[in-house]
Amino acid sequence: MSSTQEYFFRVAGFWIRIHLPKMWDVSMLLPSFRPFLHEKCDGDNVLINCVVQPVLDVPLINHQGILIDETVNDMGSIRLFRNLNEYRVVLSCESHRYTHVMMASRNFSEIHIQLCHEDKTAGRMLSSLLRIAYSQAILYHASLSVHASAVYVDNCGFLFLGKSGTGKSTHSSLWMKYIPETRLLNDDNPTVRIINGMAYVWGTPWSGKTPCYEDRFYPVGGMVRLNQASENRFSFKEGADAFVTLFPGCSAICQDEDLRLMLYDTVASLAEVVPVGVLDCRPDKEAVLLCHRALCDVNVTMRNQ
Amino acid sequence: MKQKVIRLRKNLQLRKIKNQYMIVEACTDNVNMCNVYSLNRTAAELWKHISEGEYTAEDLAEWLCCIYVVEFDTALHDVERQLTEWSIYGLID
Repeated sequence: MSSTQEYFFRVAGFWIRIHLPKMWDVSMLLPSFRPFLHEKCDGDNVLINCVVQPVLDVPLINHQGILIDETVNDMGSIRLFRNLNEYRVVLSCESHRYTHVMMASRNFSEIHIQLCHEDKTAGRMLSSLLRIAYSQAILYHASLSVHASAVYVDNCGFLFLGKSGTGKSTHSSLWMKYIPETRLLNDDNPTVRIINGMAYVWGTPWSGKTPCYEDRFYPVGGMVRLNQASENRFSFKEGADAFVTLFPGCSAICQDEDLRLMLYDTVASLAEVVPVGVLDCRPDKEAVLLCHRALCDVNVTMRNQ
Repeated sequence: MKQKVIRLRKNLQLRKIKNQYMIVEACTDNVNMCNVYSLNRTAAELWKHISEGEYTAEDLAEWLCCIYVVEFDTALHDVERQLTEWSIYGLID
């Protein structure tokens, strides 16, 4: 008898199959994944097949491979190792008391996670590891995980990009305040897909500190990079300028040439099919109306072409 | 004297966004960043032509003379200027 239970999640149309120990409560472990849970997979293609193995303590692993990246965030440190056939992601929480490890095939379609279940934040850590794998795996399908806050209104999705602390979430909340019927789609990591030459934005289980886990999608009405400024000013970007505007907000392991080239391809395609702009702004009503007007006008123009 | 065959650096792809052309290169010191080079249409055609064969600067100037109304010396001057620029940026070997 199997000691694991299989769960199917569909995120942005991609199937993720996760094998968890039977005694674990998936909705407690991964609460942000609840809206994406399905009883069965109704498609043949699974993007990621994930096996989670509980461990009391991750042994001092022989980190075979080359350390290619190390980042520190509010959750702890993330170290990325690469060898010939796999990636290894080592996630250590701040105190380094607990360490969680993900082994992934080169295309992130097969992942094996050793999760230290003593850690009270084990669920968050698992979610974080899944986000890393998902962000790479979708690159093979003309899709991107974008560091942005996204809203929707009038059947259109709008993404706001910018460095941490720029005010992406604030700008989204101002849209909800001043543009009637605007709703938040995702506040940190929406997915953008290009399907038949059209770009769509999806909600995901990863929404930063804002609990907004929407399993819905909309055509992209615009992607705007925000810069803090004393005056509000909006400008559209085209061609290489549009690429440069979008690129810093897109997630990929750029040390991997295959992933990097796919990222470049998709960002270039995106720059071609969606309105891209830069908004130098204050956090106020005028900035929202300026941005909304510019994007609405350009979408009307594009529809009439 | 034998002319040098122009070779583009590996894995630099010409990309087109609407009517603009560009080449994206990962930064050597930080691959999470990139350098983006814009090309006009003639430069893009030149890049594409170089990627399809083995050509010297003179070959390229002759090729330009076939598709544009331009004197050979002028074409060669423009080709050499463009190749020098790409060489400075490390886009050609």
